[in-house]
Amino acid sequence: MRKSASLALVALMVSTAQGIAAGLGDQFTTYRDLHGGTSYGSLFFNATAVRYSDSQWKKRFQLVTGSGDLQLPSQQGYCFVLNHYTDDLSLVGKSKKYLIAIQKTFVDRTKKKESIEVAFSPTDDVYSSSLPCFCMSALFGVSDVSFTLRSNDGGFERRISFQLK
Amino acid sequence: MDKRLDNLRLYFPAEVTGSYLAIQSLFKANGIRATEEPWLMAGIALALAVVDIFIYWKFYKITSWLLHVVLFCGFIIWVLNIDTARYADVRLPGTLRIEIVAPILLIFYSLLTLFISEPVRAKDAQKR
Repeated sequence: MRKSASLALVALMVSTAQGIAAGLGDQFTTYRDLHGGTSYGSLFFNATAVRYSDSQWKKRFQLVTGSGDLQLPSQQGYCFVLNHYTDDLSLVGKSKKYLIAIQKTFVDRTKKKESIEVAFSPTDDVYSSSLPCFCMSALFGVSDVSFTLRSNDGGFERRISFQLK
Repeated sequence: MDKRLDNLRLYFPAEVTGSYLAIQSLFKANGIRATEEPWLMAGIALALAVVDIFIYWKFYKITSWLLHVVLFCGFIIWVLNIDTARYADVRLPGTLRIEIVAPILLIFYSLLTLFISEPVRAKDAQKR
């Protein structure tokens, strides 16, 4: 009984530690400042953009820091973009992909998995508006969303989750 | 100094600056933020600049193309200064930033217009 209680406490501590790891950081309202002010591969939440076409003109980027649980405002959909600016000329113009594995958990605890591939080219143009972007919609009846973001060159992997209010 | 400021003000055509400010407010009222829709606003600015040329040709009887070019540039420079944030993603060479370039253009435009007499509306010119 004491052992199971200890295990439960450890599990709670681990989940809490993971839960506070992700957050929203600096805000950017121009592509120039987003690209120039953060590093290649940085992830941003585009606030109020609920679909891809919104994310093409809205510039309300909030840096997503860390991995784990993220507190996001209530929206009908969620869009994320990535910094694809680099001064490493060996990367510029190459065809690359982000692989996003999404898991939606519905209120009845059923789960649905989706995957998205986002093709992009790293650029040395700080003004570039063609940022890699992915959106999550069709969230009716969904209580939790989690996604794992990987680059196809194995550069990095991040896991983000958020709850729908 | 007052004369210089008058000169500066008169070379920004009020007929179109008012329209630009009205459209800017309309954007804001509809949830479009200060850095969004730069190409749409740039298109509107160009359209207003063409209207400006027509107004100066029709009502101010300005026939000099050089003066029309100066007035056109003046309006565009005014737009870049009044709406700098919106044009922050306009590609500029090297490390130049619109926040620096736009005020410098305004300073040079102000200096240039000191050497050009102010446009006068045709019916006002008759009264004089």
